[in-house]
Amino acid sequence: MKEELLSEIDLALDKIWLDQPADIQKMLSRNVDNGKNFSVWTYCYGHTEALAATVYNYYLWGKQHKGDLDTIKMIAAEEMRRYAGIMKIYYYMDNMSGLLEKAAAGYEQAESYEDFALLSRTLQHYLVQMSYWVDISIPWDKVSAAFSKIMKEQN
Amino acid sequence: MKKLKITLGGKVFYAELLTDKAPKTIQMLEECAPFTSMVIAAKICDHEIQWPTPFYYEELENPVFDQDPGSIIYFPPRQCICCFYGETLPVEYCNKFAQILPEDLPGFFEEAQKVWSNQGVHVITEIVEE
Repeated sequence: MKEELLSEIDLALDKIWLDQPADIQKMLSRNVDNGKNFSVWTYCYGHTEALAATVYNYYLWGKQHKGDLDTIKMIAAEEMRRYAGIMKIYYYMDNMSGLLEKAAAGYEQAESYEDFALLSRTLQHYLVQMSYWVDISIPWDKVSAAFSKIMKEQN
Repeated sequence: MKKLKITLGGKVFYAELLTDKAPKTIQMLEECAPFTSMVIAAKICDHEIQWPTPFYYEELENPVFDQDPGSIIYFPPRQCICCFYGETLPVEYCNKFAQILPEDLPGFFEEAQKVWSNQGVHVITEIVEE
């Protein structure tokens, strides 16, 4: 496993530990003119949460030597590339997308289960923190209150 | 005796560390404490707030499903600390490693309730000698 990639992901996590990532502002600006904003944010929330959960499973596969190594490398690489596209095209989250592209290449280059697990663990820690940032960017209290009002009016 | 110190909303709360039941989780915590995190309100469980930890520990240790008010756990799949401050329908097994002191629970309840409307507020996690 290339140390530079792991260091780059670790650094990315350090940067966003308490400071809002630039990606979040870009995501929040998505589709603001046509009214499709909250739907974008919640889909982003769902995708980011699902991605973090998926990569946690990859970590466990690597740690427990589950599955054929070449097969799990291929699955992980393809999934990271798919998510890289989603994050870039749907949500304008270029930095996260770039890291996912690099992670895809990193999975392909993994030479052992240990390599595979280490990349998954490092990446997943970063993804969880991104999911927190997406989470706190959504005004859940106000949206929930408005939703309750809408549902009352409908019934 | 060491205790867990949580600073939330500018107020300080203490918890008993369950050192005999979750020694590895507490050791991991101790190695990186003190640290500051953003706190969020749980979206499915009722009376729960959570915040991320800088450490990564994936083993289940002292796994507990039912959570009492004041229960503090570490959730491996998201590397976060979760605090249950009132009656809560649990959803998963987690590493229970601390319990908020009974005298601190009412004040903690008050601060934790505010997180739903104030997500991302900072929380400081420390281990201190008392």
